[in-house]
Amino acid sequence: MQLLESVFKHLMKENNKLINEIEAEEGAEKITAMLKDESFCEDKRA
Amino acid sequence: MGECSANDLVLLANCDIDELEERERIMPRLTFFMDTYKIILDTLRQNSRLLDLYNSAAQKLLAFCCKHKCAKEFRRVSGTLHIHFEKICEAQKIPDMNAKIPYPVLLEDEESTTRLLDMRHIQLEHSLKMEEWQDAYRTSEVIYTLINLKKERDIKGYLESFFQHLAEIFWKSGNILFHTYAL
Repeated sequence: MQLLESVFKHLMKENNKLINEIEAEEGAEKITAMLKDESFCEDKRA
Repeated sequence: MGECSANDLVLLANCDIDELEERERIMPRLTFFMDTYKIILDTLRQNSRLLDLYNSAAQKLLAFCCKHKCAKEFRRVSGTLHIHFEKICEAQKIPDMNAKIPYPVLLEDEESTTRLLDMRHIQLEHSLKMEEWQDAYRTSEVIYTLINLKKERDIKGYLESFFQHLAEIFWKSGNILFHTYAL
């Protein structure tokens, strides 16, 4: 169980590192705009 | 060009190519981030020993959706959490089901219900912040179920914040009478 816990903790740590990197590279505003815009394709097609 | 569908061509004609390229570059990384957390949640959903880890993964994902105002993804994650709770309830009714799970989440276990309750409180706060009223109401129903499972001496603090949140939901839905009653 401890091994499983440490594996998941490590996975979460790496995953958090990934999102921090993306936010640092691209800027949080850009990500917000991209995720907030749910119907991006539909809007553009319309 | 031969691989493009008619829809893709319409899309290409109507938007900036740089914008599309940027989206193609960033979105897979964001999807990977969210999918990883969803897999963690699915794997840990019925393990009482790793409930803390489950809670922190769920919190992280909900906070991410809240931070970036991603309503669609928030609804999806929240729905997944509701399904996980339903599965726990289902497993209580069928004893054979829990027998197959190494460390099942039992609703009669005080520690497990406290952790489930803490998580649902955070989920409710995020739902209110995101103004997802339907989800907030659904979460409040789960909280009510969990509060009823707890001993009376432990529920004072939970009831206080539960009714405060409930009052906010009823205020937004225009049920002034229920809002007043909740307060």
